Amino acid sequence: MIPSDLSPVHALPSGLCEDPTGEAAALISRMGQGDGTALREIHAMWSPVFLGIATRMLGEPKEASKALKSAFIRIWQRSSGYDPHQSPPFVWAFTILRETCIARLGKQRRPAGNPDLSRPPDLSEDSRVMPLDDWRRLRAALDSLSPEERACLETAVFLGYAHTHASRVPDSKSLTVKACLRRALDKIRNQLSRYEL
Amino acid sequence: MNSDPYDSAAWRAFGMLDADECAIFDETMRGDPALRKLSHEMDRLAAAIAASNVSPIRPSEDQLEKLQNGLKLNPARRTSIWIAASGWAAAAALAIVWLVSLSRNTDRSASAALPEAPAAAVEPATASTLPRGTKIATKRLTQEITVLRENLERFQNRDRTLFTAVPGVALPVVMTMNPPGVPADDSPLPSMLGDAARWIAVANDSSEPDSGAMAVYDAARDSGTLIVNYLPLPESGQFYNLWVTTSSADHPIYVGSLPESGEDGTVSFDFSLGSTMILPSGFTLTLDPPGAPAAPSETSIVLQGPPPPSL
Repeated sequence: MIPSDLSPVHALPSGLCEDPTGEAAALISRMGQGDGTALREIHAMWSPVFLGIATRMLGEPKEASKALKSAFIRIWQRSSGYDPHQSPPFVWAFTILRETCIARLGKQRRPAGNPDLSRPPDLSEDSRVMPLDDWRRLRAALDSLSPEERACLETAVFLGYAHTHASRVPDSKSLTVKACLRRALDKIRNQLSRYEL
Repeated sequence: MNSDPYDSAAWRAFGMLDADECAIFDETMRGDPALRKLSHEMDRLAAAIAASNVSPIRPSEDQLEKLQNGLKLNPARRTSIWIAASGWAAAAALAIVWLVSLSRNTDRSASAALPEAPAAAVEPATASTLPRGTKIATKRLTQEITVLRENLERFQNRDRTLFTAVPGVALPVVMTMNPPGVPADDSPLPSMLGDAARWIAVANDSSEPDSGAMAVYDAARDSGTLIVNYLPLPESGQFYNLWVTTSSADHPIYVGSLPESGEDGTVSFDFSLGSTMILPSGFTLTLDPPGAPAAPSETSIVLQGPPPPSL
């Protein structure tokens, strides 16, 4: 039986998506000073993964391409105010992309593209996106989730519940989306904490 | 919004809060370092999960070029237009010179064909060879001009595509900001001309102008510009801070501090509100000591807008 009352999501262990070499932070700093070549380098480094993310968030390649361009324009415009102490470069840029996608979804008044969870992604481990160790420990943590929890979490990450009133997990009579997400996040936290220890 | 901050941080990261809830969460987060840290950690997790669950897709070849053009970072393209244009102009000039010389030669050969001309015996040979060479050269030049003209049109069309209006984009919000207590000008001309009238008046006024500001904000793009006019330079250690008020929030929301410009004339600053779902109802500029700025008060407000209507 699925418990209905779950503990709240606790603070997650930090350390994911760090920029150990400082390469990305240096590029953003250069962008903040108006260096166009730094933008080219950042674009070459992150645009493929960002386009993959935007495509899953928005569901349409053309929309995703437009969102990617808008996101990079915002990244350029906000680069002078970037504070590496607040969040790592990739996370900072990801939040801008996500914000752009949320806005596009809201403007079009249509639900997010339904992420195709049946197709496993390429197991590319690009160290310029995330340190290699992070790729592995995150995948191990995700593997600890039940299929239902994982699907729920991935749908949420790819904005499948944005601008909607989803209350029940599909194929589940009693589990709400929020309860499922709480449980998934709690498990992830515990798994990532194990790696830290 | 959920009362549990952990939940709220997660729902914020997953886009599950509406505009008002987002604004409240962001405002709370600004004053709560623990919540801010939690939100950043949630962003880390979301970014990592997203990256590990997609197959990278290489953008189209011209994606970067379009991006650079959008940011006006592509001087090479502009140069190529000038090269194309100058090439076309040079070709046209050459063609004119050639046609003029052809006309002169034709006149000469025509006059040489007159019976009374003494040099008629040698001229016919030149007259018979010139049109053939000229014909070939003219044809070649015509072809080059056609190619150059096509290139120029292609570049011009590409520029037109870049500047096509985006359908459905809202018009920007434009608000003037005056010192507290200064009413809005109620003469009919400014209302007809909009805020431009006031700025024209300031520009034409040779006496010491009043401080003022104008905020232009495009909610659809979450992109704004604050233009301040004759704002006194802050004393050492003090900062000007910008706040936005919305109809949904009870108190002004902190936007950011103005960087030191070192100028006391007209200076502009770009800003964003962090979300495209915020529709401002007013802006406030305060002068605060260093550190976390307190909420705007009567003593700290320097400019606010839109100003109250005059009585």
